[in-house]
Amino acid sequence: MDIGPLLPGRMPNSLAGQRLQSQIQNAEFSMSQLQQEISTGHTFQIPSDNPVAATQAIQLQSLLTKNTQLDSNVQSSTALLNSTDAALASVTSALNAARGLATAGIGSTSTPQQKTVMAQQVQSLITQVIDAANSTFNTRYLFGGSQNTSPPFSLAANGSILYNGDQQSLNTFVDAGLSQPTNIDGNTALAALTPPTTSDLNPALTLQTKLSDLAGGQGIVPGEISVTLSSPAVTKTIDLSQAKSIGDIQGLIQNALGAANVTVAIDPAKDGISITPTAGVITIANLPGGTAATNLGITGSAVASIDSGDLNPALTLTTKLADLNGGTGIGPTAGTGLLITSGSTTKAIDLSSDVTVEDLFNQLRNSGLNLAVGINSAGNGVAVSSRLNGVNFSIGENNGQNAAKLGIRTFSASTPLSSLNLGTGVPIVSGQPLAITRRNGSVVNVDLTGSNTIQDVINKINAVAPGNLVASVKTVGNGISLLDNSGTGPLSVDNSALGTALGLAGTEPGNNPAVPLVGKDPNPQTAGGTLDLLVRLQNALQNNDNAELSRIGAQIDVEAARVSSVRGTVGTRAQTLQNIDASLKSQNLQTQQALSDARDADLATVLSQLVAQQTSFEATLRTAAQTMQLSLAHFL
Amino acid sequence: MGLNATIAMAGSALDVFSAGIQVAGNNVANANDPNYIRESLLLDPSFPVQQGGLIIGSGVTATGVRQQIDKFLETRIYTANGDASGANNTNGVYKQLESALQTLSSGDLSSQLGSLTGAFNNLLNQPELATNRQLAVAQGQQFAQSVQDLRSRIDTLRTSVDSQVQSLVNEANGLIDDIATLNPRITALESAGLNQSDAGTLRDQRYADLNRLSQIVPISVTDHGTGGVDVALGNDSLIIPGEVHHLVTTTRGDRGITVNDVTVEASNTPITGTKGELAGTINGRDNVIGGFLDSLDKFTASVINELNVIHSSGQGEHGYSSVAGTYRVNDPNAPLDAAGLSFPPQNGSFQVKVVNTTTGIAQTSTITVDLTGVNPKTTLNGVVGQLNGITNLAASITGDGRLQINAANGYSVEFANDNSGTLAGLGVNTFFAGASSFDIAVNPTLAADPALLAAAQGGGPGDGSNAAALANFANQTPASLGGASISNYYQQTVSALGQASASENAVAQGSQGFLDSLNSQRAQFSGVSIDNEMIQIMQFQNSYQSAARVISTIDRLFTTLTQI
Repeated sequence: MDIGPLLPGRMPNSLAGQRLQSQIQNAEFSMSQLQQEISTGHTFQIPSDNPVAATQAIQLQSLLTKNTQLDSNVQSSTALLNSTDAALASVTSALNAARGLATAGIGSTSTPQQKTVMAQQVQSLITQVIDAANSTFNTRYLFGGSQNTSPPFSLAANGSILYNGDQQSLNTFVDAGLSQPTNIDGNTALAALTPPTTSDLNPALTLQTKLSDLAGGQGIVPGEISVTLSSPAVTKTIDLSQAKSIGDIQGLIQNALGAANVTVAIDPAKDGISITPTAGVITIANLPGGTAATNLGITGSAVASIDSGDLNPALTLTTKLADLNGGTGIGPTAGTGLLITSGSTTKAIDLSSDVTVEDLFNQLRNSGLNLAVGINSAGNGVAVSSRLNGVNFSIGENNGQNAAKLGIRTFSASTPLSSLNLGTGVPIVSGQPLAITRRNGSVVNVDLTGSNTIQDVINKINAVAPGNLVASVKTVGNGISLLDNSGTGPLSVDNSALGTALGLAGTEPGNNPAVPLVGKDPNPQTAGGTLDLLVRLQNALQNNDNAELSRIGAQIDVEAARVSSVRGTVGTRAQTLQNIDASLKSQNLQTQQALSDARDADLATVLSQLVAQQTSFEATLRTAAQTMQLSLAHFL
Repeated sequence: MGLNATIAMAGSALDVFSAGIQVAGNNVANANDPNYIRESLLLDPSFPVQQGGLIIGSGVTATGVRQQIDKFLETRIYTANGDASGANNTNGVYKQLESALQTLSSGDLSSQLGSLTGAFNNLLNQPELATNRQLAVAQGQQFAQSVQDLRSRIDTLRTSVDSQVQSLVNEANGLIDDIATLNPRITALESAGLNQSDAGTLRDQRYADLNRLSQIVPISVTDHGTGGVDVALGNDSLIIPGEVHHLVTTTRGDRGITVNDVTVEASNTPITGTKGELAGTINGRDNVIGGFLDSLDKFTASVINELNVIHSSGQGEHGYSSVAGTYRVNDPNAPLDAAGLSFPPQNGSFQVKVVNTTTGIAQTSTITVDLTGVNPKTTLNGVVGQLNGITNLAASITGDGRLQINAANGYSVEFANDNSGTLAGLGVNTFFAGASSFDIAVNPTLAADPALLAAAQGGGPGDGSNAAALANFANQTPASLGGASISNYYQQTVSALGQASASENAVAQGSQGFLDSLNSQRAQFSGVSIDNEMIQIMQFQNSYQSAARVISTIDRLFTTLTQI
């Protein structure tokens, strides 16, 4: 019973007793509540004891849990990055040692025996780098990309080194919604893949194209659009938000307006959609505040037909090869295909059974040529790289246009001369022309001064005797081929630096004018990274190849700078993590403080409350004992 | 008046005074019974006698024993009883629910959700570690178990609250019978009296019954002056002369348990509102606990579906050689968005990859799920048909309406890029099975092989792209949660429960305080004061002695007279 105010008048014993009981009950209740606060250390036990503080405590507690997890993410990422840095340090030191060996090996200052010893030293550097590149932390192979459960680098044929990993970045959350890579893949660290030749393949738009693949893969979010037809005169708001493909858009618009009244189709350029009313004109607009029509490029006012323009669909695994290059495909595949050379292996790849990009990828992966295949970083083309370090790589035609139409041919008429021969270029010096001995025995000197691309060279050769001395890009493999019908003698190009650099130096000894002088591929691809350079350095030392040694010497400097900058990236990431760690720790401290403020009992206050309560309880009991004894009955 | 008459008068006074002492004594004897209503003896001068020109009083008569009670106060107490006990019982349910939730302890769902996202974060940190996959699956099982445990704790709580409803109904019916029996007895006893309170003990008992009944249901009491009372509940009569209506219960299934609905006999009016223990308890059972269960189910369904949608588009360390969906359709020929699935798919498509397990070469096919309504909508049979068109893959529908996909020997099947929610809706390549707090569990296929945990999106064993999405899933804001994120929704629910509980507490305390002050007034007016009764007894004792002295005086007068 509540201890309410007493009304004037009688004071029955039963009321006095009830009031007393209630007073004692209340006192005992508050004392046990205080005891509970002291024993649990919390001012409230269930949220309704103090809803405001409890709500705060619930939020703070969850924030604390999140921060603790983030902190643990940061710790594990820091450990991974530190191990990565240690491995890269070992790579840097190997590169520095290799630089010294390359310099010492040039020229005649060292004997062939010394060079053999140097080559052996390079071999141990290679082992050192492979060890570092195969290093693990907590069972993770640090440099394998997402293929990190087996060693990413292994020895392959002829001293070459195979990279088995991929280029995936592995991330972790270091702050709410903020993720950061915790790895450096083998290609980023050691440039272990050949840089791919790639170009925009401009896939055609089809009814199956997903809206999320439009705008170069960024995707388009559909919404409500307003469409007005003049015949029949009708205005409709069409909700396209459930559409996921171009076909859905077509169906929804035609369904809303009647397929007899409007036609939605792939436009003639095959890169967008056209919306055409059967009669009259059409107007399509955004709804107020919306951008759905603009996103699809289909706004238009009172026009006979609306074309979305290029919606730029991205290349996907399921894109059909026939839909590439604006729907023109990759040329005939029967009897043609790709001619791929990797080191000493050359293989023709028959594409005639491939329907989709994925089929092409599967065939290349299965070719045994150690290829890394994928969609290029722009999302619009095919990227094919060799996984082998230390050997040359090229993709050429096999009597067709497939390689060029896939954008992956490593040599073409437009290849700049400066990039030939692993970047050493072509030595075009005024007064030192290319000397061609024709089949009639005459020698023509072709002045190549001013040439920048292969096409320029071809044009200059073809200008000598148009239609008779004909240079062209080879139709099988890569390189230049030369035809001459001036006679029946041999056809040759002099063995000068220029002829060699163009891959043409040599002789076609036969007497058939229809047989061309077939040049070599002057533009082999190479990974160009640490391991590639080390393997080539070893070979150059063994072969006493001074030109190659000086090229490699320069390249090692470039590579060392590149590896240093990768280490810089790792360091920056570790630094960022340290900063985040520090801020997380101070945030944790503040959160804990706030949580404690909201939830924890202040012992000093609670104890003094308890003492006060105790005193008042004792007084209550004492007065109760005394007043309960008072009764008239005792005095009669 | 003669001497004899005087003796007779004094004699009757002795009777009256001893009756007075008896009444006071009875009060003293019952002083400790809180239901006892103090009684007092009503005295009137006896009818006077005319003697010649004199009108002489003929002493005192006891006209009756009256209960000291304020009937208007009783009515107010009945009303206050309903308010206070209703709020008290609802409040009690709130408090029990709150302690069942274990909010603020490490066992509550919010912490479990945090641990689950933590496990996904660790998976993201190093997806290549098998232990991280096992721990994430184990954490999922723990989360599911926590939800189910909470659900069963709450179900038990609801069942016990419901059994309280049953026992309150029994008690109320007993009280109704009691009052109905007391009514005619009081009428009979008091038929001769004038005070309408002569049947003191019986009235005490009826007052106690009415008081208790008014705590259970908000009754209104009409006293019709003949000793009987009518009792009504709203517009329905419970007791009128000759007719008694009990409360009756009927059972129905509600949110997984059997509950009792209470109605008034004959009129079938249900007991609703917040007044009275019965209504307060029912309110607590259906709205407080039931409302929380609805929120819990909404939360659980969102967790299941959001996680499944993300998970179903990712890939594990290896594909499935065969996989069965966990959700069944009612009719394989019904459109997928109307086939009775708990999480119906939307328009869109998903990709199926058939992987040669020896070479690792994958063949990707797109399965279209057309639900725009423009063309005939895709059915489960339609999906099966498309799947069967894929080389090295066979799909079928199990006897109970679930999708079954089998890869040919030497092949496995993986899934990707589902923008339709079909895989999540059918329970293929999902993390959780079940649809509510009642049946949430980790997908048994995944539980049996944690390597199937979909951390990747097309990459190698270290690919954590999907794990990143999984780690972020609690920040999703599904439309079903009205704009709140999954992690905030549960916190908001628990906070709102705390707020509601606190305000119910305040209501309960307020109405209890008012009731207490009324009860205190009643006790002050109707309770027994020993001191008062002592004084009464002394007064009657003195009066008795005085009357006896009158008799002895008359006696001496007689003696004097007879000695003449």
